[in-house]
Amino acid sequence: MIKEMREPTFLVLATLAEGKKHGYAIIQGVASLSEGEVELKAGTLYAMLDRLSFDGVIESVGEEIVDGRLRRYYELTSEGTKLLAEESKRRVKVSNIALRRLRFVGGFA
Amino acid sequence: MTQDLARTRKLLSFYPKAYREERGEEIVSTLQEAAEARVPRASLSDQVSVALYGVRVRLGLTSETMFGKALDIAAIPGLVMGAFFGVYLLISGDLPVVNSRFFYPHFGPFLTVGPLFYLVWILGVSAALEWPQYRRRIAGVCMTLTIVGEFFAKLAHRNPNIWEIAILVSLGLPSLLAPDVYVTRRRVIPSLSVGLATFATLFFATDTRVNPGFFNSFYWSGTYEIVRRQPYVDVFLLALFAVLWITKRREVASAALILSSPWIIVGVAYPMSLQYLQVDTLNVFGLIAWAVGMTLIVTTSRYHPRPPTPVDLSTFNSGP
Repeated sequence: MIKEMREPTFLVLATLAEGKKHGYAIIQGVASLSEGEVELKAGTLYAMLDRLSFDGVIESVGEEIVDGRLRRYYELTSEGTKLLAEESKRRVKVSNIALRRLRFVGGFA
Repeated sequence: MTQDLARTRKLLSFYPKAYREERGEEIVSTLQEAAEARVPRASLSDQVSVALYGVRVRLGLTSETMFGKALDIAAIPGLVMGAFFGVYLLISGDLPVVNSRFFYPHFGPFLTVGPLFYLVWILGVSAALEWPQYRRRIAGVCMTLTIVGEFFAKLAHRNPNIWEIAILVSLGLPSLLAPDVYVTRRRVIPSLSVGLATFATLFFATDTRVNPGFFNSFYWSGTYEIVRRQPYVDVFLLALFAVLWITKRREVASAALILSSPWIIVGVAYPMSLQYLQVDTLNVFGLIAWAVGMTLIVTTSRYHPRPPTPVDLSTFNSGP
Protein backbone atom coordinates (compact mmCIF):
# COMPACT_ATOMS: atom_id res chain seq x y z
CA MET A 1 0.00 0.00 0.00
CA ILE A 2 1.41 3.37 -1.04
CA LYS A 3 1.56 5.88 1.77
CA GLU A 4 3.44 8.78 0.29
CA MET A 5 1.86 12.18 -0.11
CA ARG A 6 1.36 13.48 -3.63
CA GLU A 7 3.69 16.23 -4.79
CA PRO A 8 1.22 19.17 -5.09
CA THR A 9 -0.13 18.51 -1.59
CA PHE A 10 3.39 18.37 -0.19
CA LEU A 11 4.24 21.66 -1.90
CA VAL A 12 1.11 23.39 -0.56
CA LEU A 13 1.87 22.24 2.99
CA ALA A 14 5.52 23.23 2.60
CA THR A 15 4.42 26.68 1.41
CA LEU A 16 2.17 27.07 4.44
CA ALA A 17 5.04 26.04 6.74
CA GLU A 18 6.34 29.57 6.17
CA GLY A 19 3.22 31.03 7.78
CA LYS A 20 -0.35 31.93 6.92
CA LYS A 21 -1.05 32.63 3.26
CA HIS A 22 -4.02 33.42 1.03
CA GLY A 23 -5.05 31.63 -2.19
CA TYR A 24 -2.86 33.34 -4.75
CA ALA A 25 0.11 33.50 -2.35
CA ILE A 26 -0.10 29.71 -2.05
CA ILE A 27 -0.07 29.36 -5.87
CA GLN A 28 3.01 31.59 -5.99
CA GLY A 29 4.67 29.72 -3.13
CA VAL A 30 4.15 26.36 -4.82
CA ALA A 31 5.53 27.67 -8.13
CA SER A 32 8.55 29.12 -6.34
CA LEU A 33 9.26 25.98 -4.25
CA SER A 34 9.02 23.75 -7.30
CA GLU A 35 11.09 26.18 -9.40
CA GLY A 36 8.18 26.63 -11.79
CA GLU A 37 7.62 22.90 -12.29
CA VAL A 38 4.23 22.83 -10.55
CA GLU A 39 1.76 25.51 -11.54
CA LEU A 40 -1.39 25.05 -9.47
CA LYS A 41 -4.63 25.96 -11.23
CA ALA A 42 -7.12 27.90 -9.15
CA GLY A 43 -9.70 25.08 -9.28
CA THR A 44 -7.11 22.53 -8.17
CA LEU A 45 -6.02 24.84 -5.35
CA TYR A 46 -9.56 25.16 -3.95
CA ALA A 47 -10.14 21.41 -4.23
CA MET A 48 -6.99 20.91 -2.17
CA LEU A 49 -7.82 23.63 0.35
CA ASP A 50 -11.30 22.13 0.88
CA ARG A 51 -9.89 18.64 1.31
CA LEU A 52 -7.06 19.66 3.64
CA SER A 53 -9.43 21.82 5.72
CA PHE A 54 -11.92 18.96 5.96
CA ASP A 55 -9.16 16.62 7.15
CA GLY A 56 -8.00 19.13 9.76
CA VAL A 57 -4.56 19.56 8.16
CA ILE A 58 -4.98 23.30 7.51
CA GLU A 59 -7.44 25.88 8.78
CA SER A 60 -8.75 29.26 7.76
CA VAL A 61 -7.38 31.87 10.16
CA GLY A 62 -8.77 35.15 8.90
CA GLU A 63 -9.81 37.41 6.07
CA GLU A 64 -8.94 40.84 4.84
CA ILE A 65 -9.95 43.08 1.97
CA VAL A 66 -7.06 44.27 -0.21
CA ASP A 67 -7.81 46.56 -3.19
CA GLY A 68 -11.47 45.58 -2.92
CA ARG A 69 -10.64 41.86 -3.05
CA LEU A 70 -11.31 39.34 -0.36
CA ARG A 71 -8.32 37.37 0.85
CA ARG A 72 -8.83 34.39 3.13
CA TYR A 73 -5.76 33.16 4.94
CA TYR A 74 -4.82 29.57 5.72
CA GLU A 75 -2.26 28.01 8.01
CA LEU A 76 -1.15 24.56 9.12
CA THR A 77 -2.89 23.04 12.13
CA SER A 78 -0.82 21.10 14.66
CA GLU A 79 -1.89 17.93 12.89
CA GLY A 80 -0.81 19.43 9.54
CA THR A 81 2.56 20.43 10.99
CA LYS A 82 3.07 16.88 12.23
CA LEU A 83 2.02 15.40 8.87
CA LEU A 84 4.37 17.68 6.93
CA ALA A 85 7.25 16.93 9.32
CA GLU A 86 6.73 13.18 8.92
CA GLU A 87 6.50 13.39 5.13
CA SER A 88 9.59 15.63 4.95
CA LYS A 89 11.58 13.19 7.09
CA ARG A 90 10.47 10.30 4.89
CA ARG A 91 11.53 12.15 1.75
CA VAL A 92 14.90 13.13 3.25
CA LYS A 93 15.52 9.54 4.32
CA VAL A 94 14.77 8.18 0.82
CA SER A 95 16.82 10.94 -0.81
CA ASN A 96 19.79 10.25 1.47
CA ILE A 97 19.71 6.58 0.62
CA ALA A 98 19.53 7.41 -3.09
CA LEU A 99 22.42 9.88 -2.84
CA ARG A 100 24.54 7.39 -0.88
CA ARG A 101 23.94 4.77 -3.53
CA LEU A 102 24.77 7.16 -6.35
CA ARG A 103 28.05 8.07 -4.64
CA PHE A 104 28.76 4.38 -4.20
CA VAL A 105 28.46 3.77 -7.96
CA GLY A 106 30.28 6.96 -8.77
CA GLY A 107 27.25 9.03 -9.79
CA PHE A 108 28.04 11.90 -7.42
CA ALA A 109 31.33 13.38 -6.31
CA MET B 1 -17.86 46.08 -12.65
CA THR B 2 -15.43 45.35 -15.52
CA GLN B 3 -16.25 42.80 -18.20
CA ASP B 4 -13.51 40.47 -16.94
CA LEU B 5 -14.81 40.58 -13.40
CA ALA B 6 -18.35 39.90 -14.59
CA ARG B 7 -17.12 36.92 -16.62
CA THR B 8 -15.16 35.60 -13.66
CA ARG B 9 -18.20 35.92 -11.39
CA LYS B 10 -20.27 33.96 -13.90
CA LEU B 11 -18.01 30.96 -13.25
CA LEU B 12 -19.43 30.81 -9.75
CA SER B 13 -22.77 29.69 -11.16
CA PHE B 14 -21.19 26.24 -11.53
CA TYR B 15 -21.10 26.01 -7.71
CA PRO B 16 -24.05 25.34 -5.38
CA LYS B 17 -25.47 28.47 -3.76
CA ALA B 18 -24.18 27.58 -0.28
CA TYR B 19 -20.64 27.14 -1.57
CA ARG B 20 -20.86 30.36 -3.59
CA GLU B 21 -21.85 32.31 -0.52
CA GLU B 22 -19.05 30.77 1.55
CA ARG B 23 -16.14 30.84 -0.92
CA GLY B 24 -17.28 32.75 -4.02
CA GLU B 25 -15.61 36.12 -3.35
CA GLU B 26 -12.39 34.43 -2.32
CA ILE B 27 -12.23 32.39 -5.55
CA VAL B 28 -12.97 35.46 -7.69
CA SER B 29 -10.17 37.36 -5.96
CA THR B 30 -7.69 34.52 -6.52
CA LEU B 31 -8.69 34.27 -10.17
CA GLN B 32 -8.24 38.01 -10.64
CA GLU B 33 -4.81 37.99 -9.01
CA ALA B 34 -3.80 35.00 -11.12
CA ALA B 35 -5.15 36.63 -14.30
CA GLU B 36 -3.05 39.75 -13.68
CA ALA B 37 0.11 37.72 -13.25
CA ARG B 38 -0.28 35.02 -15.85
CA VAL B 39 -0.37 34.85 -19.63
CA PRO B 40 -3.92 34.77 -21.09
CA ARG B 41 -3.80 31.04 -21.85
CA ALA B 42 -2.86 30.16 -18.26
CA SER B 43 -5.61 32.44 -17.03
CA LEU B 44 -8.13 30.59 -19.22
CA SER B 45 -7.05 27.20 -17.83
CA ASP B 46 -7.46 28.68 -14.32
CA GLN B 47 -11.05 29.56 -15.20
CA VAL B 48 -11.72 26.12 -16.68
CA SER B 49 -10.34 24.43 -13.55
CA VAL B 50 -12.58 26.61 -11.35
CA ALA B 51 -15.63 25.71 -13.47
CA LEU B 52 -14.78 21.99 -13.37
CA TYR B 53 -14.33 22.05 -9.61
CA GLY B 54 -17.71 23.80 -9.38
CA VAL B 55 -19.31 20.91 -11.25
CA ARG B 56 -17.62 18.47 -8.87
CA VAL B 57 -18.89 20.34 -5.81
CA ARG B 58 -22.38 20.50 -7.28
CA LEU B 59 -22.42 16.75 -8.02
CA GLY B 60 -20.89 15.87 -4.66
CA LEU B 61 -17.79 14.42 -6.34
CA THR B 62 -15.24 15.83 -3.91
CA SER B 63 -13.00 13.90 -1.56
CA GLU B 64 -15.01 15.05 1.49
CA THR B 65 -18.34 13.55 0.43
CA MET B 66 -19.55 9.97 0.66
CA PHE B 67 -19.93 9.82 -3.14
CA GLY B 68 -16.35 11.01 -3.60
CA LYS B 69 -14.97 8.61 -0.98
CA ALA B 70 -16.95 5.72 -2.48
CA LEU B 71 -15.61 6.52 -5.97
CA ASP B 72 -12.10 6.58 -4.53
CA ILE B 73 -12.65 3.14 -2.97
CA ALA B 74 -14.25 1.77 -6.17
CA ALA B 75 -11.66 3.22 -8.59
CA ILE B 76 -8.89 0.60 -8.71
CA PRO B 77 -11.22 -2.38 -7.96
CA GLY B 78 -13.39 -1.19 -10.87
CA LEU B 79 -10.44 -1.34 -13.27
CA VAL B 80 -9.45 -4.76 -11.94
CA MET B 81 -13.05 -5.94 -12.30
CA GLY B 82 -12.92 -4.77 -15.93
CA ALA B 83 -9.70 -6.70 -16.59
CA PHE B 84 -11.11 -9.89 -15.04
CA PHE B 85 -14.30 -9.43 -17.05
CA GLY B 86 -12.09 -9.25 -20.14
CA VAL B 87 -10.34 -12.47 -19.12
CA TYR B 88 -13.74 -14.09 -18.63
CA LEU B 89 -14.92 -12.98 -22.10
CA LEU B 90 -11.68 -14.28 -23.59
CA ILE B 91 -11.94 -17.69 -21.90
CA SER B 92 -15.68 -18.10 -22.35
CA GLY B 93 -16.33 -16.30 -25.59
CA ASP B 94 -13.24 -16.03 -27.75
CA LEU B 95 -11.04 -19.08 -27.08
CA PRO B 96 -13.80 -21.71 -27.60
CA VAL B 97 -14.52 -20.39 -31.09
CA VAL B 98 -10.85 -20.40 -32.18
CA ASN B 99 -11.04 -24.03 -33.31
CA SER B 100 -14.78 -24.07 -33.90
CA ARG B 101 -16.19 -25.46 -37.14
CA PHE B 102 -19.16 -23.09 -36.93
CA PHE B 103 -17.40 -19.73 -36.67
CA TYR B 104 -15.19 -18.05 -39.21
CA PRO B 105 -12.37 -16.00 -37.63
CA HIS B 106 -12.40 -12.31 -38.47
CA PHE B 107 -9.46 -11.07 -36.42
CA GLY B 108 -6.45 -13.40 -36.38
CA PRO B 109 -7.68 -16.63 -34.82
CA PHE B 110 -10.51 -14.77 -33.07
CA LEU B 111 -14.03 -13.87 -34.05
CA THR B 112 -13.70 -10.23 -32.92
CA VAL B 113 -11.09 -7.66 -31.89
CA GLY B 114 -12.23 -8.20 -28.26
CA PRO B 115 -8.97 -9.91 -27.13
CA LEU B 116 -7.11 -6.74 -28.06
CA PHE B 117 -9.38 -4.68 -25.76
CA TYR B 118 -8.95 -7.17 -22.92
CA LEU B 119 -5.18 -6.97 -23.31
CA VAL B 120 -5.37 -3.17 -23.07
CA TRP B 121 -7.33 -3.47 -19.80
CA ILE B 122 -4.94 -6.05 -18.34
CA LEU B 123 -1.99 -3.78 -19.13
CA GLY B 124 -3.92 -0.78 -17.79
CA VAL B 125 -4.71 -2.53 -14.53
CA SER B 126 -1.07 -3.59 -14.09
CA ALA B 127 -0.09 0.06 -14.51
CA ALA B 128 -2.85 1.29 -12.16
CA LEU B 129 -1.78 -1.15 -9.43
CA GLU B 130 1.82 0.02 -9.78
CA TRP B 131 1.06 3.75 -10.10
CA PRO B 132 -2.38 4.31 -8.52
CA GLN B 133 -1.85 8.08 -8.59
CA TYR B 134 -2.27 7.93 -12.39
CA ARG B 135 -5.48 5.91 -12.26
CA ARG B 136 -7.54 8.65 -13.94
CA ARG B 137 -5.25 8.87 -16.96
CA ILE B 138 -4.92 5.09 -17.19
CA ALA B 139 -8.71 4.64 -17.06
CA GLY B 140 -9.12 7.37 -19.67
CA VAL B 141 -6.69 5.64 -22.03
CA CYS B 142 -8.31 2.19 -21.56
CA MET B 143 -11.82 3.59 -22.03
CA THR B 144 -10.92 5.70 -25.06
CA LEU B 145 -9.06 2.88 -26.83
CA THR B 146 -11.97 0.51 -26.17
CA ILE B 147 -14.66 2.94 -27.39
CA VAL B 148 -12.70 4.00 -30.49
CA GLY B 149 -11.72 0.38 -31.20
CA GLU B 150 -15.32 -0.79 -30.85
CA PHE B 151 -16.49 1.95 -33.21
CA PHE B 152 -14.03 1.05 -35.98
CA ALA B 153 -14.41 -2.71 -35.41
CA LYS B 154 -18.17 -2.33 -35.78
CA LEU B 155 -17.69 -0.80 -39.22
CA ALA B 156 -15.86 -3.97 -40.24
CA HIS B 157 -18.21 -6.32 -38.32
CA ARG B 158 -15.40 -7.47 -36.05
CA ASN B 159 -16.67 -5.92 -32.84
CA PRO B 160 -17.55 -7.66 -29.58
CA ASN B 161 -21.14 -7.27 -28.40
CA ILE B 162 -21.70 -3.59 -27.64
CA TRP B 163 -23.39 -4.29 -24.26
CA GLU B 164 -20.38 -6.23 -22.99
CA ILE B 165 -18.16 -3.37 -24.08
CA ALA B 166 -20.52 -0.91 -22.35
CA ILE B 167 -20.06 -2.83 -19.07
CA LEU B 168 -16.28 -2.92 -19.57
CA VAL B 169 -16.02 0.80 -20.29
CA SER B 170 -18.34 1.73 -17.38
CA LEU B 171 -16.02 -0.03 -14.96
CA GLY B 172 -13.43 2.65 -15.69
CA LEU B 173 -15.79 5.46 -14.73
CA PRO B 174 -15.05 5.40 -10.95
CA SER B 175 -11.35 6.01 -11.71
CA LEU B 176 -12.23 8.77 -14.14
CA LEU B 177 -14.63 10.54 -11.76
CA ALA B 178 -12.95 9.88 -8.40
CA PRO B 179 -11.58 13.02 -6.76
CA ASP B 180 -7.87 13.53 -6.34
CA VAL B 181 -6.69 12.41 -2.92
CA TYR B 182 -3.33 13.07 -1.37
CA VAL B 183 -2.65 9.47 -0.49
CA THR B 184 -3.56 7.14 -3.36
CA ARG B 185 -3.85 3.54 -2.23
CA ARG B 186 -3.13 0.55 -4.41
CA ARG B 187 -5.74 -1.65 -2.71
CA VAL B 188 -4.18 -4.75 -4.30
CA ILE B 189 -5.87 -7.41 -2.16
CA PRO B 190 -9.42 -5.93 -2.19
CA SER B 191 -9.11 -5.19 -5.92
CA LEU B 192 -7.94 -8.69 -6.82
CA SER B 193 -10.68 -10.14 -4.58
CA VAL B 194 -13.32 -8.10 -6.42
CA GLY B 195 -11.86 -9.17 -9.78
CA LEU B 196 -11.68 -12.86 -8.86
CA ALA B 197 -15.21 -12.80 -7.39
CA THR B 198 -16.49 -11.26 -10.64
CA PHE B 199 -14.70 -13.87 -12.73
CA ALA B 200 -15.87 -16.77 -10.54
CA THR B 201 -19.49 -15.53 -10.49
CA LEU B 202 -19.59 -15.13 -14.27
CA PHE B 203 -17.74 -18.37 -14.96
CA PHE B 204 -19.80 -20.60 -12.68
CA ALA B 205 -23.14 -18.85 -13.12
CA THR B 206 -23.22 -18.92 -16.91
CA ASP B 207 -23.41 -22.15 -18.89
CA THR B 208 -20.20 -21.65 -20.82
CA ARG B 209 -18.66 -24.92 -19.63
CA VAL B 210 -21.71 -26.91 -20.62
CA ASN B 211 -22.00 -25.41 -24.10
CA PRO B 212 -18.53 -24.34 -25.21
CA GLY B 213 -18.78 -22.06 -28.22
CA PHE B 214 -22.38 -21.16 -27.43
CA PHE B 215 -21.24 -18.09 -25.53
CA ASN B 216 -19.46 -15.70 -27.82
CA SER B 217 -18.67 -12.07 -27.78
CA PHE B 218 -20.01 -11.27 -31.26
CA TYR B 219 -23.60 -12.47 -31.19
CA TRP B 220 -26.30 -11.86 -28.59
CA SER B 221 -25.77 -15.13 -26.72
CA GLY B 222 -22.93 -13.96 -24.45
CA THR B 223 -24.75 -10.95 -23.08
CA TYR B 224 -27.93 -12.98 -22.78
CA GLU B 225 -26.06 -15.54 -20.65
CA ILE B 226 -24.92 -12.77 -18.30
CA VAL B 227 -28.30 -11.04 -18.10
CA ARG B 228 -30.13 -14.34 -17.51
CA ARG B 229 -28.32 -14.82 -14.18
CA GLN B 230 -28.46 -11.16 -13.25
CA PRO B 231 -31.39 -11.43 -10.74
CA TYR B 232 -29.33 -13.68 -8.43
CA VAL B 233 -26.41 -11.29 -8.61
CA ASP B 234 -28.71 -8.31 -8.02
CA VAL B 235 -30.15 -9.90 -4.89
CA PHE B 236 -26.64 -10.60 -3.58
CA LEU B 237 -25.33 -7.12 -4.39
CA LEU B 238 -28.30 -5.31 -2.89
CA ALA B 239 -28.18 -7.48 0.24
CA LEU B 240 -24.46 -6.71 0.52
CA PHE B 241 -25.20 -3.00 0.15
CA ALA B 242 -27.91 -3.15 2.84
CA VAL B 243 -25.70 -5.05 5.31
CA LEU B 244 -22.74 -2.72 4.81
CA TRP B 245 -24.98 0.36 5.04
CA ILE B 246 -26.68 -0.82 8.24
CA THR B 247 -23.35 -1.76 9.83
CA LYS B 248 -22.18 1.81 9.14
CA ARG B 249 -19.63 0.84 6.51
CA ARG B 250 -21.41 3.23 4.21
CA GLU B 251 -18.51 4.26 2.01
CA VAL B 252 -17.72 0.62 1.20
CA ALA B 253 -21.46 -0.04 0.68
CA SER B 254 -21.63 2.87 -1.74
CA ALA B 255 -18.52 1.63 -3.58
CA ALA B 256 -20.16 -1.81 -3.96
CA LEU B 257 -23.29 -0.20 -5.38
CA ILE B 258 -21.25 1.92 -7.79
CA LEU B 259 -19.40 -1.16 -9.07
CA SER B 260 -22.65 -3.04 -9.54
CA SER B 261 -24.17 -0.20 -11.62
CA PRO B 262 -23.21 -1.35 -15.14
CA TRP B 263 -24.37 -4.92 -14.48
CA ILE B 264 -27.72 -3.86 -13.01
CA ILE B 265 -28.39 -1.30 -15.77
CA VAL B 266 -27.46 -3.68 -18.60
CA GLY B 267 -29.63 -6.35 -16.94
CA VAL B 268 -32.66 -4.24 -17.92
CA ALA B 269 -31.40 -2.15 -20.84
CA TYR B 270 -30.15 -5.10 -22.92
CA PRO B 271 -33.45 -7.06 -23.08
CA MET B 272 -35.30 -3.78 -23.63
CA SER B 273 -33.20 -3.22 -26.75
CA LEU B 274 -34.42 -6.52 -28.21
CA GLN B 275 -37.98 -7.12 -29.30
CA TYR B 276 -37.89 -10.88 -28.76
CA LEU B 277 -36.55 -10.83 -25.19
CA GLN B 278 -38.69 -10.04 -22.17
CA VAL B 279 -37.33 -7.97 -19.32
CA ASP B 280 -37.03 -10.02 -16.14
CA THR B 281 -39.23 -8.51 -13.40
CA LEU B 282 -36.56 -9.22 -10.78
CA ASN B 283 -34.03 -7.25 -12.83
CA VAL B 284 -36.46 -4.31 -12.87
CA PHE B 285 -36.81 -4.48 -9.08
CA GLY B 286 -33.02 -4.65 -8.89
CA LEU B 287 -32.76 -1.50 -11.00
CA ILE B 288 -35.31 0.34 -8.82
CA ALA B 289 -33.47 -0.67 -5.62
CA TRP B 290 -30.19 0.42 -7.22
CA ALA B 291 -31.71 3.80 -8.16
CA VAL B 292 -32.95 4.29 -4.56
CA GLY B 293 -29.49 3.43 -3.22
CA MET B 294 -27.75 5.80 -5.63
CA THR B 295 -30.20 8.59 -4.77
CA LEU B 296 -29.35 8.04 -1.11
CA ILE B 297 -25.62 8.36 -1.85
CA VAL B 298 -26.02 11.44 -4.05
CA THR B 299 -28.39 13.14 -1.58
CA THR B 300 -26.09 12.60 1.38
CA SER B 301 -23.19 13.95 -0.70
CA ARG B 302 -24.71 17.35 -1.38
CA TYR B 303 -22.67 20.32 -0.26
CA HIS B 304 -23.35 21.52 3.25
CA PRO B 305 -21.75 24.75 4.42
CA ARG B 306 -19.30 24.31 7.26
CA PRO B 307 -19.80 26.25 10.48
CA PRO B 308 -17.63 29.37 10.33
CA THR B 309 -14.32 29.18 12.16
CA PRO B 310 -14.00 31.89 14.79
CA VAL B 311 -11.13 34.11 13.66
CA ASP B 312 -9.20 36.98 15.08
CA LEU B 313 -9.17 39.70 12.42
CA SER B 314 -7.13 42.18 14.47
CA THR B 315 -3.79 40.87 13.20
CA PHE B 316 -4.88 41.27 9.58
CA ASN B 317 -6.72 44.54 9.64
CA SER B 318 -4.40 46.54 11.85
CA GLY B 319 -2.82 49.01 9.42
CA PRO B 320 -1.05 52.32 9.93
